Amino acid sequence: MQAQHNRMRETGQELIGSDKFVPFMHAYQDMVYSTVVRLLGRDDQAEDIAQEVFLKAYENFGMLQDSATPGGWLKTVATNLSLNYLSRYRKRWSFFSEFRRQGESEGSSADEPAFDIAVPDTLVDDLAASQRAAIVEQALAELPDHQRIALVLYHFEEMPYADIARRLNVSLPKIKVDIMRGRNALAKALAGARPTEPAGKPS
Amino acid sequence: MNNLDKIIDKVCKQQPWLGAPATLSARVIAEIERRSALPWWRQSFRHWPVPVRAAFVAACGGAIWTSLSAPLARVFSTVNAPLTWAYQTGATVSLVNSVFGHVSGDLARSISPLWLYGAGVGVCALYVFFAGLCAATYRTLYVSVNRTAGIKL
Repeated sequence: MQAQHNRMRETGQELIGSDKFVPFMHAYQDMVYSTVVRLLGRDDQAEDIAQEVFLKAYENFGMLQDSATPGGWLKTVATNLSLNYLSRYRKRWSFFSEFRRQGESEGSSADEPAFDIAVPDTLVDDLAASQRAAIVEQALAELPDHQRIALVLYHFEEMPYADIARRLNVSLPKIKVDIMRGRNALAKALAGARPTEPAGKPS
Repeated sequence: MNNLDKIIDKVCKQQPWLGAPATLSARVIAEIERRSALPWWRQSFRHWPVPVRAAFVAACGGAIWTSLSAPLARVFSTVNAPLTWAYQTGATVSLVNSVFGHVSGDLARSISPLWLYGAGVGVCALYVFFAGLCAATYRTLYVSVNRTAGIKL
């Protein structure tokens, strides 16, 4: 971090607020990156989008310094840029790819029940935190786009159903079903995982 | 919230942040430096010096006025006094509409309809041709190759 401070000073043109911006960026970069990766379901474009988020933050740094919730602002911008990217990506490639109705041939999700499956309250109690985190990230990445995006917006970004439906331009019942199926997939992944044995445990 | 909803919600809330790549902050800093090193005329309008911005706005206003003054004079020479009064009192929106309508009308009349229809058909044909060419190329060179390799698209 200090090296970056020095590098910015060595350029000969002191950037406005750079001494505060670099620590600010370091404080929020994991949050921004996680938000983008979870929405995109992959990390190949996530760094580009996270970079764009912080460039916008730099342009508005004066306002963000005075803001009580800079994290909220960053998450909103990260979410919007990610959804814009997904929208452009989908429009660009849908014409060139096989035409198919959403949810029809993306995995077997269309055959899955549209209601929450029954799970024990101890579903995740046996799993170590790191193992659970890895399973959830893996399961999220494997979800179809329409389920993952809706689920991330609902459970991670705490967006209400109606707002998600409006933002994604999808009907409210479809959003509810997508989130439900995404939840079921996560539950199945968690239920199917075996707790890892602690290292060095005597047999 | 039902049982599963609560469990998954709790799991998601407890999910730790993913670590951002170590290169992210360096990339951001480099891009900020690159942008700030650009001369002012290559930056966005909000970064231009205030006098330059003011001069630019004035020049644009002058250019608009110069380009519209001749058609305005023509309109004023043909319209009645009430329209002149409306212009003088600031009701310029309808006036601008009439000017643009007049100019575009003149332009449309000076071009043969056959040429206009031909140009429209030509543009549409080119659009369809190039879109089809791109789709065919993509499906031939990309989709078929990946299908052969067993990659799900």
